[in-house]
Amino acid sequence: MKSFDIESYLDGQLSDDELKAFQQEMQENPAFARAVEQQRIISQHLRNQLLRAHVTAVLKERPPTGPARKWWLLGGTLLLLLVVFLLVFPQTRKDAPVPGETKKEIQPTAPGNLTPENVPGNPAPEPAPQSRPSQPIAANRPSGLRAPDYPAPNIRGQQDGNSAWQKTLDQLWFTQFPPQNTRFNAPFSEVAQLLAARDFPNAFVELEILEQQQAQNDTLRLLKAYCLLEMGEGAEALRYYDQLEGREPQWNAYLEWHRTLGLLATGEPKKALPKFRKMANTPGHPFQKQSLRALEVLK
Amino acid sequence: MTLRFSLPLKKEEQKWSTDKQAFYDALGRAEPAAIRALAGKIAYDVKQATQHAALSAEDAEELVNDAVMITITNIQNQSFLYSDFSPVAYAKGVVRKLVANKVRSKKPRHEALEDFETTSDINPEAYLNNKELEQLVGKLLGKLEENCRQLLRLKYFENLRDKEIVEQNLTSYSSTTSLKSKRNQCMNKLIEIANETGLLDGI
Repeated sequence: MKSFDIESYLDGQLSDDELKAFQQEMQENPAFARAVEQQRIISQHLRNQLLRAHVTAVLKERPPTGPARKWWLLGGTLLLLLVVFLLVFPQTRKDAPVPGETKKEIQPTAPGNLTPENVPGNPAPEPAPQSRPSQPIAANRPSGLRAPDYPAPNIRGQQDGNSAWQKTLDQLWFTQFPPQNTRFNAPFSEVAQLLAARDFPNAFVELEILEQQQAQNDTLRLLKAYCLLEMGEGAEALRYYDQLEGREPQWNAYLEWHRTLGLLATGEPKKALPKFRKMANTPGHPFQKQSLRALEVLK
Repeated sequence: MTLRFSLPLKKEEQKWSTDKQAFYDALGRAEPAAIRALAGKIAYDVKQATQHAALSAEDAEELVNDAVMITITNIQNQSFLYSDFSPVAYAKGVVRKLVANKVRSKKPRHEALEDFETTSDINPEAYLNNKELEQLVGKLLGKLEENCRQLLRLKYFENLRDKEIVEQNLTSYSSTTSLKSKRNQCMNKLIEIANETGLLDGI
C-alpha cells in the first residue's frame, strides 16, 4: 500500500505528481480524507495555542509601567536602605572581638588539586547549616565580600568523601533569586515564592507540574535551572541554562555567573576559572566582586 | 519563527515609533518586546472600553491578550497587511470588536453597536469558539512526552525547517527522516487522544 505524507501536503510541499496522487486518494478513500482533515485542524489549533501560550507568558512578565513603576522603585529603595541598615549596624556590634575565640580557616588548595576528587576528604563532615551566621567583611580581600549567606548545596555524588570541596564551594556560592528587576507573575508566582524561601524540593515539584501543564518557555527554564542548581544538580541546571543562552540580554550577566557556578557543581573548576577571570575583569559586571571572591577562594 | 531578544524594550520602542514596518515585522515574528509594546499601546483603550462596558479587570487582561493574539495571527496568515493600517490601529479595532462581542453577550441583541471598519475580517465569536478548542489541544499536548512536545513546538511554534533542526542539533535526531518520522508519530498520538476526548467529533 502506498503511503502518503499528510504533513507535506498540509505544508504545500508536494510535487505536482505527488499532489495529484494525494488528491485522488482523498477522493477515493473517505477515511484517508478524514485523517487529513483531522491533522489539518489539530495542527492549526496547535499552532495557535502555542502562540497564545507565548503571548500570555510574555504579557504575564510585563514589567510594571507608569505610576506603578514609581511605587516599585520607591519600595525597592526603602527596602535597600533597610537591608543596608540591618547589615551594617548589627555587624558593628556582633563583630567585636571575643576573647579566646578562634576562627576556623579553610586550608588553601593547590591549583593542581582543584577537582573535587583530588581534594582530601574530611573524616568528619559537618552537617550543612540552613543559613550562615553573620561574618565580618573581608577588608583585606580585593572583592571586599563576606562569605555567602547560604551554603552551597550538597553536590550530587559528593556528599560524603569531599567536605573540603564542599567548604570551598560554600565560600563562593553567591546565588541570586529573583534576578534583578525581574518579577514573576502567575502561573510562576507561587513557585518563585518557594524558590525565594529556598524551599527547593517543593519548588521542584511545582516546576515539574508546570512543565507538564504548559509549553516550555524561558521563565520556566530559568526557574528550573536555578532550582536544580541549588539542589546540587549542576549538569541538569547547565542543560537548562544552555537553552537560555542569548535569549534575554538583560539576563546575560546573571546566566553567566550561575552557569559558572553550575560548572563548579559538576566538578569542573578548571573550566570555571577562566569564566570567573573574565567576569572579574569586566568593569561594571554585576557579579564582578563575587568573581573576585571566587578567584580568591579557588586560588 | 526563531524567537529573538535583541534590544531592550525602550530602544525597540523608539525604533518602532519611526519604523512601523519594522514593528509589524517584529510582531509577525512574535518577538516578546513587540508583544509587550503592542499590549502597552492598547492598554489605555482597553481600560477605557472595559470601564465603559462595565467589564472586570480580568476581562480587560483577557482582551489585551486576545487582541495581541489576533493581530499577530492575522499578520502571520497575511489577512492583515501593513499597507492597510498600523498594527496599533488594527489591534485597537480588534479590541473594540471584542468588547462589543462581550457586551452583546451580556445585553439584548437589539442594542446598537458600533461599526468597526478597520477589522471587518474578524469574527469574535468564531475566534472565541476556536480559542476553547485550541486551549483544549494545549492541554492534550501536555499529555505527550517531553520529546514529542519539543518536536511539535519546533515545527508549529518556532517554524523551523527539519534541516535547521538537525543542523543546529536541537533534538537527538541526526537525520531529517528520523526527525520527521518521530514527529509524525507524535502528531498521530495527539490526534488519537483528541479523538478519545471527542474533540474531533463530526470530522
